[in-house]
Parts: sequence; structure tokens; C-alpha cells
Amino acid sequence: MTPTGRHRSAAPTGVAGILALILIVGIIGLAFAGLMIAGGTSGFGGSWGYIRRLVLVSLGQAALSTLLSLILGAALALALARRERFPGRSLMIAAMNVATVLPPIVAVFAIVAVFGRSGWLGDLTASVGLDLGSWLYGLPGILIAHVFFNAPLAARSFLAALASVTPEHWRLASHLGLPPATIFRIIDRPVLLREAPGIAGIVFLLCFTSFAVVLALGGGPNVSTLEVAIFEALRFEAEFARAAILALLQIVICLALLLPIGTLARRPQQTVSSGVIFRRTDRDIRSLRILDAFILLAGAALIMPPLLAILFRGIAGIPALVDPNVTRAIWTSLAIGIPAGLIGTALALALADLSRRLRIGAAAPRAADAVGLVAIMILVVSPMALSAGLFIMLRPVINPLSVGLPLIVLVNALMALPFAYRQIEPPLTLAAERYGSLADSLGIGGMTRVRLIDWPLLRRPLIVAIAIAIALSLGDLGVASFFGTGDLVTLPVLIHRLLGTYRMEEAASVSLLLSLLVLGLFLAAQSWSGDWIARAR
Amino acid sequence: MPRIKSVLLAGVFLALGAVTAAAQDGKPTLTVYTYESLAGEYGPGAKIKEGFEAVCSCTLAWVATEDAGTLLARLKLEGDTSSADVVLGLDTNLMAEAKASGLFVPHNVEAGALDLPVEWKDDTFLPFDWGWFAFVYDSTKLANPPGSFAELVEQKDGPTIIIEDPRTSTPGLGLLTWVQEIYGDRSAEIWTALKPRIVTVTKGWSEAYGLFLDGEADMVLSYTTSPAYHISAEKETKYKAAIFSEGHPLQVEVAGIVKSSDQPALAHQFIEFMVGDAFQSAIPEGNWMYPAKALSNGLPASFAGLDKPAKSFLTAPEKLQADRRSWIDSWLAAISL
Repeated sequence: MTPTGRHRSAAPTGVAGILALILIVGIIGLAFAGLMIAGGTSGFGGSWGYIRRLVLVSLGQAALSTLLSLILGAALALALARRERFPGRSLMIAAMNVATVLPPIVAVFAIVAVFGRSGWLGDLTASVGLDLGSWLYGLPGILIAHVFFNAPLAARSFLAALASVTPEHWRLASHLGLPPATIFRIIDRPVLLREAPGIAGIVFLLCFTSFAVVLALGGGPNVSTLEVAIFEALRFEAEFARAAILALLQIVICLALLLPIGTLARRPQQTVSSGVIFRRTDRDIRSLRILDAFILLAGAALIMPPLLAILFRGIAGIPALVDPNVTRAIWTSLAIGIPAGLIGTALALALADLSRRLRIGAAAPRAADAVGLVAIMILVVSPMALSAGLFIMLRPVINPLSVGLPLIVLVNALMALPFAYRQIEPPLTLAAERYGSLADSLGIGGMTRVRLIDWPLLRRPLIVAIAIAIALSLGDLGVASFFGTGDLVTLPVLIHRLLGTYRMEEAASVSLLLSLLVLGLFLAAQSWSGDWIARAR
Repeated sequence: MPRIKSVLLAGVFLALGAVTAAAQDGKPTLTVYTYESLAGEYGPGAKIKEGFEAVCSCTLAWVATEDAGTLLARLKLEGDTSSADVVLGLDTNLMAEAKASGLFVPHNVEAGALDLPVEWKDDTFLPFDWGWFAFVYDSTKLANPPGSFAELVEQKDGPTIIIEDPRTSTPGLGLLTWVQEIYGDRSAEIWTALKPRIVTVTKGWSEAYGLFLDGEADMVLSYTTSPAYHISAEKETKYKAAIFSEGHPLQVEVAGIVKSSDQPALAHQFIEFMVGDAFQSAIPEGNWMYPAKALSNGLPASFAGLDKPAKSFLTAPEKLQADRRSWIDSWLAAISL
């Protein structure tokens, strides 16, 4: 690869990416301007000591949650990469995806049903005369919930990265008869380390801004996040300037933490690959089989019981859901989720393309990292603050009631973008690193280049990215309910309404319905794209 | 892809159709902002809409936000250009804030005698329902609930409780004022004494009540009327509200007419309708609160056997607005480590 090697892929040279960048930064800027305008000169007017404590506590729990999620995620990814076939593998991967996108309140009830005082674990220990009491509430509950959400997310990204190791490595490992420890050290570990900073960033941001889960399982207000203070300012005090300042503070803190992490992420140069398929050589080692079985069981023990709890809690009420309200909520959710997912993925694709051009075409890795940072930073823009700010700015121009749906779609698309970007950017860059100069020298450009070079590596991640983005939008509550009118009832809004009127059992059934919808989406995406590792057959 | 596209388009049209269908028959539209569980298909919203449209020759359009707090935030964001004619569902915790916004006009409705445990004088906001905050418990599991707040605090190995966060929820704030009304300056030590038995502090009522029903604590902060739901919908009488001898705080839910309304006459008519029997009869088993006006046929059977506190507190909205922050700060300090 020569630094001067540039893309001849004629048509729009990163224009889409630049437009996406402008759109994202513009929308976020607009929202903050809106909040500031609405806040007028009222200023902060809050207690900095209180804010400092929120930040410190959040940093602690988020760091710990991230560490645990990454360790379990990496272990799961390695085990899944080595075990290409076992009964239930597809289902396990799909279930892991479901765990990642569940609405927080659904996950809280599911986790409590398993680990709570009167949950399965509590019943089990009580049957042998042991009362665990309320051990869950506090740091244990927060960590369990965050690992439940994020270990699968980490595993998914690690697994995708492990699957993209050039087959030549495995052929070489086979010829040299490398032992498993050496294979891990020279093949797997570099891949895991390469991906770790990016994944750690996204997981950390999710834990740092997590809200309802942290309050419900935190056991008390001493563990809460900045998002709580933003909520308080926005919804209880209608202090928009304070909300904007807190939301900005959240961005600044996260930027300060992510920038150094970003510089750690050195991409090792990739070499050209023949694309010949060669399987991992460490699949048949007995000790690794035992280890992998243990890891997979441990992962399943954390992820599966809460999902089963959703099933058991909701299954009895499913027949009662044949109801026009529910049917309409499904359609409304899809009408928001599908376009939001597609738009979010398209924006992620445009950004990933821009990042790749900067990294490889323009040899400007720093600029490429900055694009990635913008993509992930959306996670720390409080969705509440974003929708409120946009609402203020758009109101003088159009009636937000009449454009409620497109607005919800847009904000949801932005919220799904970081997740889609994580799926798309690595394979896209990989394609250029491996085959870019070859394609240049052969003069392959335009759509032919996309079809021959990018598409084979991109197809599967892209389909999965779309599924994730749609699923995330399906599970959204906050955005929809701010813009929402009485008629725009999505599945999460319906769950909220049922919970708010004592109908906990019906809420459990709609939660199950939502989970099944998302599970179906992921199973379809997996079968359509071919399972991650199945291509190594 | 074509299949996805058609599904997508169908969905978009369906949702858009639902939004626009309401406003096409030439009648004037009264826009009422409220919170979700009130407007939704599971609250009293449908019955209220039907009842009002039968007498107003207009269309009632609900605009529902997630909760009462969001309702006020949204209204303040919209300011003078709000499309709201009436706001239904603010409560005494938000009233001072709402009044200070200057976005409401006096309702001028002669409501007659309201059926509230306290006297109501406000000329901007008119109550449509009310309830007492209380700790709800399962009488098959907790045989001897505390009979007073003092008893709850003093029993070191007494019942565990789940409460709501006063920073994010109205019941949470209600509990804060409850302790404040009974104990005043001693509130912080009360919270410190209660702390070991607080299982968790949730963002809102739904999580707290759900966790309680799942058996995560002995009692939950809810309403004295909560047992009525279980009696009515589940024929289940084991849930009770613990009545404390010191008295209970009130939550009064109110409505107001928006100053910028372009349908002031309809808005006025709606407020009158609100304190009439058609609206009020939808409240008990729709919103699970007491109606603000005595019903001509009396309360439904599910409400008949409910225990009632002898004494009620209602913290003045202005006082609440002024002291809320310092109360919350001292609560945080007492309950955090």
C-alpha cells in the first residue's frame, strides 16, 4: 500500500460522508442552540458538588461495567469463533443481539425475575434455607444489567473481527503446527486488542449514560448518572439552559475520556489476501473444547435466563393481545423502526466510507479517527436533550405535531448510527486495506469496485447493521414519547401505558411480543446474511 | 428489497393516516395535552373523548406526553404558540411552576362544591381527581403493617420498602413532602433511619409498583386507591394500603385553560364538562383515583371498602417550589453514603 495510492472509484469522493457529517453535527448543534435559546439567561443554577458526585460515581460503575463486558465479550467471541457448529449456536447469537436492544424497563423486570429476592435464584436458595435478601440492588444489579446488555454487544464486534482474519494466517498456523497459546498470542490477541478500544468506547458511553436501569437496580440515589440530572432539569424543572449545560458537560467528559483511548487504537496494516478459505486450526484441541464449553455455558447462564423470564412472564397473556391497539402499535413501531434503521445505516455507511477514504486514500488516520468519534459521540448526546432542542428549533418553522413521525424517525436513525457504524466501518476499511492497491493497479473503479472489492466483505455486516439499527429503533421510548401525539403509539409506548395503569401482566406480554419481533428480525438477518463464521466452511 | 419497501410504505401510510384522520370532518378541534396513561386506551381517555364529543359538536384531540413533568416542559417549550387549548393532568407539585409560566388563564368555572379532603381555592387550575399517597402491601405476606409513620421508621427489622426518586417522579416528591410535613427539620434523620430498609429507589411509579408485585419488597409507595385496581380487575383483595395515624399527603390532579388557545369557548366548555358526572365517573376505575366531584351514583364497588386516612396534608405549591431543591439535597445527603 502506497501513501499516494488513491481511490479511482470515480463518483462522489466522500461527498456522502461529508454531508452525513454536516447533517449530524448540524442537528446536534441545532438542538443545543435550541435549548440555550429556550433557557434564555437563566444560566446553570444548579449545585456543582452534586454534579461532581454524579460524574465520579458514574465513571466508576461505567469503567467496571465496561471491563467486565469486554472480558466476557472477548471470551464469548473466541469460544464462538472456535465452535462453528453446535446446536443452538444461531439462536444464541440472535438471543445475544436481542439482549443488546431490549428497552431498559423490560430488561430490569427480566433481571429481577431471575436474580431478585423473589426471583428464580431467590426461590432456589430459599429452598435450601438460604435467604439472599436484596443483594441485587446496588453495584451488583447495575453490573449484571450492564454486562447483560453489553457483553453480547462486545462479543458480536469481536466475533466479526475474528472472522475477518486472513485465511493465510490459519494456513501458516496449520503448517507450523502452532500450539493454541501461540495461536492466541500471534493471531487472536492482536485482533482483540485492535477492536477493544472502539468497543470499550461504545460500551463505556452506554454505561455512563444509562439511566432507568441504574436507578431501578442501584438501590438508592448514591448511584445515579448525569442523565438523571438532565431529566430532572428538563422534565421536572423545565430549566432548559441547565439541561443544555449538563448535556454539554456529558459530551465534554466523554470526549476527554475517549480521545486518549482513540489514540491507543493502532490499526495494524493488513495484507492482501487470496480469499481462499481456511479454517481455524485450534478447533479440535481437547482442553480448548472444555474451556469453550465452560465460557459458552457461563455466557448463556447470564444472557438466557432473563430472556426466558420475559418468555415465561409474557406467554400466558399472549392470546389476549389480539387487540387492534396492539396491532396498530406493531405497525407504528415498524413504520418508525424500519425507516430509522435504514437511514441510520445509510448515514453510518457514508461516514464509514469517509473514514476509509481519509485513512487510506488521504493517509490521514487522525482525521479518520475523528469521523469515527463523531459517529460514536451521538451516544452521549442525551436523546431527551436532543429531541427537546430540535423541537424548539423546528417549532417556529413547522408544527412538530404534523411532522412528529419524520422527526422521531430522524432522531432514532441518529441514535442507531453508532451501532451500525461499529458493524460497517471495520470490514469496509479492511476491504480497502487488502485489495485497494490491487484494484487501483488494475484500474477497477466505480460500481465494479464496490461489487468486487467491498460487497463480499460488507454484505453480512451491513445486513446485521440494518437489523441492529431497526431493532434499536423498535425498542425506543424516550424520543417517541416526547414528540408523540396520542395516536403515535409504538410498542414501547404501549408497554409504558400498560405499566402506568397497573396492567403489569399485559405489559409483560407486549414486552414478549417486542422481544420476539426483534428475535425474528435477527434470525432473519442471520439466515439471510449467512452466519458469521459459516462462510469459513 | 421490494418487499421491505412495501411493508415500510404501508406502515408509514397507516401511521400518518391515523394521525391525520382525526381532523378532517370540518368540526372545530379542541386539543388537550395530557399524559400517556390518562389519554391511552387503558385510561379514562377514550370514555372522556366520547362523552365530550357527544355534547360539544367538536373533535377532541389528545396530545399525550410520557408523564406530567414532560407535559409542562413541552408547554413551556411551545410558549405562546402552543396548539394546546387545555392541559389536563398537572398536579400540585407542578402547579406553582405552571402558574409562574404565565401560560394559563383563569378558568372562571363555577364548579360548585368539590369533593376534596381540603378546601380548593385556586382560580387558574381546577382539580379533576385526587388521591392519598400511601404504602401498599400484600396482607398475606405482611400480617402487621405499621400503623403510623413513626412505627415504620422505628421498627429496625420492619418491612422493606420500594420508593420512587423525588428527582424524577411525583410520588417520590410526595413522599418527600410527607416526611417533611410530619418531621420538619428532623427529616434527614428519619431518612437515615429508613435507609437500610429501602430496597431501591426507582425512576417512576411503574418500576416501583412492578417490582413490588414481583415480591421484591414488603411495601411500595403508591396510593390508597391502588388496592381498588386489584379488587376490580383481578378480584384480588390481598393488597391493602397501610393507613398512618399522622395523616397522608394528597396528590391533586388539575386542569387549566391555555392562554393562547384559539378555542377558548370550547376549552371553557371542557372544564365545565370535566367536573360533571360523565367525565368524573370515568375517573375511579380509569385513572384509579378519587373523582374531584361526588358521583351521582356513588363510587364503584371496588372503592367501597378502601381504608381512608383521617388526616390529609397538602403542601402549598409555592412552598414546594421554593423548598424542593433544598429538601431533595438534604434527602440525597441523608440517603447516600
